[in-house]
Amino acid sequence: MEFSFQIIDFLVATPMIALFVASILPLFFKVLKGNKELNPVFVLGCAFIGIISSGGLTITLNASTTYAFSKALVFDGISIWTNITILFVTGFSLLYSRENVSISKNLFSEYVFLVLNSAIGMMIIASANDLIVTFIGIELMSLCLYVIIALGANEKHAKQSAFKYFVLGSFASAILLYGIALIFGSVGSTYLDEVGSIAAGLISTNRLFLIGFAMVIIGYGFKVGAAPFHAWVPDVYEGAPTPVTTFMATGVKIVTFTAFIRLAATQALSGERALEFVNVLEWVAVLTMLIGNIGALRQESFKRMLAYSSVAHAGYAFVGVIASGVGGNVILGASGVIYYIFGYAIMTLGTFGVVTLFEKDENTTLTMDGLKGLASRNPWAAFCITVLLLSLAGIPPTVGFFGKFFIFSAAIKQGFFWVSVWGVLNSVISVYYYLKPVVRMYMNDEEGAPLVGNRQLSQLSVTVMTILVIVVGLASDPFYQYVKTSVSKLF
Amino acid sequence: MEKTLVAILLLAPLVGFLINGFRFRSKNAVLAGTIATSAVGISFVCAVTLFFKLVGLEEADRTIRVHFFDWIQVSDFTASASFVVDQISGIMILIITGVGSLIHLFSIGYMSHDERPTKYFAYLNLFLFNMLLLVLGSNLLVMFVGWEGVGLCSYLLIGFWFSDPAKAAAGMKAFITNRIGDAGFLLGIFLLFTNFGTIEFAELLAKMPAEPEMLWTGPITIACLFLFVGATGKSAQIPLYVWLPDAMAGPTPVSALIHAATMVTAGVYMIVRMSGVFVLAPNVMTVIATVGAFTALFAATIGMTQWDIKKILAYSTVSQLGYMFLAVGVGAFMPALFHLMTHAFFKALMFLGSGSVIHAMHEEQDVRKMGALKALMPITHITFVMGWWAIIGLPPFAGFFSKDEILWQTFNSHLGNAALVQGLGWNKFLWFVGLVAAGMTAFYMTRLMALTFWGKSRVPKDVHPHESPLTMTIPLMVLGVLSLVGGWVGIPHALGNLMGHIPNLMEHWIDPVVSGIKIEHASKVVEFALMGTSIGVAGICAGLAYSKYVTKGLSEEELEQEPKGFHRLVYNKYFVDEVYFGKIINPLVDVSKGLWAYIDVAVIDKVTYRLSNWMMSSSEGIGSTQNGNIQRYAMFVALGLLGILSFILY
Repeated sequence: MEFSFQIIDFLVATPMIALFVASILPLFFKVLKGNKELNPVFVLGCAFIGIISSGGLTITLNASTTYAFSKALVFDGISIWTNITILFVTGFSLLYSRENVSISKNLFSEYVFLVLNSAIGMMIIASANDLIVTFIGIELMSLCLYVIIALGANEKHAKQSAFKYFVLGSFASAILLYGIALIFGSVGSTYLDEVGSIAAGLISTNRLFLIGFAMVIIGYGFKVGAAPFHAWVPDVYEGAPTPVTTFMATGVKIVTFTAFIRLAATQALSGERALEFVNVLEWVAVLTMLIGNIGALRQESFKRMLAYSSVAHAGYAFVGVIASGVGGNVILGASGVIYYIFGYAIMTLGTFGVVTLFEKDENTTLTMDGLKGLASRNPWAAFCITVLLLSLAGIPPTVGFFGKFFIFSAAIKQGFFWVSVWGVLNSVISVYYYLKPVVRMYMNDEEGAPLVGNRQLSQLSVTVMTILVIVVGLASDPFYQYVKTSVSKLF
Repeated sequence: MEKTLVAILLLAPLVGFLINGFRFRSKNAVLAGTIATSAVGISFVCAVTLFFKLVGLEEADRTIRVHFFDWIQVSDFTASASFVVDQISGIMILIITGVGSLIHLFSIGYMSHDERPTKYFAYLNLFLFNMLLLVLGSNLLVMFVGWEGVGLCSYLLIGFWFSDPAKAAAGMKAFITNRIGDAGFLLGIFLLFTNFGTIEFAELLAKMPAEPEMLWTGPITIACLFLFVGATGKSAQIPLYVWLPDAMAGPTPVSALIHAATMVTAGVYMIVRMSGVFVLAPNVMTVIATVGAFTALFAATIGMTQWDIKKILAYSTVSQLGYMFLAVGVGAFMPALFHLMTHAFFKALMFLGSGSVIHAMHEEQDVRKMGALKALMPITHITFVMGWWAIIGLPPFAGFFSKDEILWQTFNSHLGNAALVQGLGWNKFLWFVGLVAAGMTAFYMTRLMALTFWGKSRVPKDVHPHESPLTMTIPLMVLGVLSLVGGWVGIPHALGNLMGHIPNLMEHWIDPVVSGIKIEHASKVVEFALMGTSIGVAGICAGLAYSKYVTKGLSEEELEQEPKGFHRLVYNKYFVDEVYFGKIINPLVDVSKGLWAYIDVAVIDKVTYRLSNWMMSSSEGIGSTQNGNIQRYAMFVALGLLGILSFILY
């Protein structure tokens, strides 16, 4: 195989290059200043210039499908949409980081460098047409994340979480890589478009391919926290500094589900003998929803509750992934997943932002009881939390409702009735723990934990997310149509 | 241009509602009243402009249609937010915004001592917005939104002084009674949609069959019956009229606006709007006419025995609404709308007049404690006399023309004679019932005048009635003049020819848009004879009442005496409320209590608690697997991998 680069390859990769340049600028200046920490505003400024220029470049790419680097990367509607969302969540996570106490202040340049490089890894995953490149993206993203988590100010929690995530993540990476190797062995290529043309046939005849495909799905499933590969999620999410948790819960989920959709687009599951495989995946989705929701029921820590809820949401989105992989009307499922995960990112940015509002030092965390009587102390904050939680529970007219609606209607159209029934039942269970904080806020006069003052950026972000939750919900149709047209180019 | 006008017409009250709604804690009645009144004033200007645009259009297409946006679109069901101003809704918007702005103005004075004036004005504006939606909507769904909206505002305003449990209960009674009617209305809409596939008025009319339905079980007949159930709720007809007299618990201007001039006429408006559908169901028409005539008579008898000034007016309203239903029932849509208009003028006038009296008497409503207020409140008295003259139907006041037109057309109509009663001359009988009710109207209204304004004073010593301020008397004067001249737009041909060819403007205006009866070869002699009869009956009854209550006067003992026999039955409103409670409501409540205790608590609650406990304990189980042990987590992954692979491979 011959590799040759042309200038066009670099042109389409400029969003990532811009982000990379922006990420090393603070480090560069820090060295020049004799390793003294820079003004955080300057660092953040560099980062945002990078994010905005990267976003601008991404939008200008918004043309027809373009391949780059010998088809290793593909820039189509779905990668552009995902890249923009990644930049969006990166920006807001950095805003939270600026004000959060658990982010070490004298390593802020390094922190920003790592976050931005992790974002580059995510963008690579979203744009990868080659499973090997996907793997490289996942490793770039994960390696940065391990370090970021370990940078947390609460030594014990942060180190423990980072270590857990690292060990289990390596385990999962090994499985993923092994799966890719098996696919290469049976197909002779790791390019998704080439795999896609013969996948449906191979899955019925070639056991090696079947095992390889399953292992890739398991590797991805670990990253999104699908049961039974979810066990790291509550511990790591709780132990990591809250802005990092925000970044992980949104960014990693967005890109891994995009990778899922790219994998599903091969239509391997539409093969005749894939029926048992689809069956197993349905069970995985149901188990994920159940474990996430039931596990969240008794949590008293707000952050840990959100971690379990994040597992449950991965389960809902997984239903859409299945619906998009089995042939037939696959676009509905795929666009449902992309819309859902976008909505989930908005809600998660908002709810974890709320958690940071209550963290006055690295050892405090928001408990359910801490929210008592918030409605009378700070009605606006209470309102924002209520809207965000209602959206997570899937109450109309918020984005959470429409996300679930699109996913489950796609699943029903594809004939997945009992999974949809499980999904709706799980939604009902989830209402319990989402409304628990609301009850404490509005129907309790006791004094809870105080809001930390001087967090204007975080407050603003939470407000923006609350408004978006309603706006993207009410105006769900234009967003959904946009996602649908972007996704339809993939199939 | 038209679009902007309609938008402003609709939105001005809504904006007023929002402004007052956001500053609802303010206690400044004048400011709140000014905001609310100017909002309605703006609407009134738009309504007048639209009306003149309408007049300027060719008669063949005298309709302004405005489409704002598609509201709901689900497969073959479309509902658009579009509005239509034509001959019918043109008159309605004039009445609503015109009378509405006068009542808003009156309220500024009336509510000046209230605790929550801003809330009051906000509700009043919201009511007008919904009422305008109701009459302007070009389809049944928009109409229904307004229909529900006015119901809500009516509830809020009746129970405005909710700290008094009786008033709060009156609000609930109105709401619940209306809901029963609304359910019927909704079923009617569903039926029309399933049969004709549209809820747009214009399309619905175009899809109507040519021949009327003679069967009771036809789709149009049943749909119309359901729609009429809705109308009996909103417009207080037998059997759902019971809420209206209780609704007098609200502030008096509310009674004038909602429970006399506008909302209660919604049912009449709806039937006139859908006249093309209703005439195809002659059986329903007979039902409507009969219910209307008997409501008119029934309410009038109760009105003759009441002592509360507002209750008398309330029963009078029920009775007058009965006339309107009699009219639509016999296909006399123009007279129905005509009477709706004149009634809006004189009944709003009398309610506001009674408000002025109540205000002057320090919230006293019992006519036995009034009398001889004529000298103390000259303006209120004079305007009240004009209203009295109009309602008892003496020329040249408004009520004469409209009521007489109804009776005359009832006498001549071929409708209102369904197969069941054909050959009995049922319409002649209905005419007779209407005539008797007209006599009773003259009696109880004269009685009201006599006890309140004339005769000897029975006012307690510590009360010193005084004339009301200008903001309250100006609306009275305007409405007084309207009660006089309002009827002149509909002078019947027989009279018009006599006085030099005065055209019947109203008939000319409405007839193109409504179906209904045309009386071609009726004898003028009969018409004059009937006219004379009704004037005579009204005059005699008024005279009787005058001699009984003014000339003879009432002694204290007579006033205190408990009514006996038939009088007692009527005085207690035929015990209808008691029957409703004893035979319908209480048994229902008992059944519900049984369901609560034996089904809800004993079965459903138990099952759900069991389920939730089970969920909670499984949550504990999941929590215990999450012990932070990394080896165990790795084991989950490995087992998961093994499980999945073994399942798909074997």
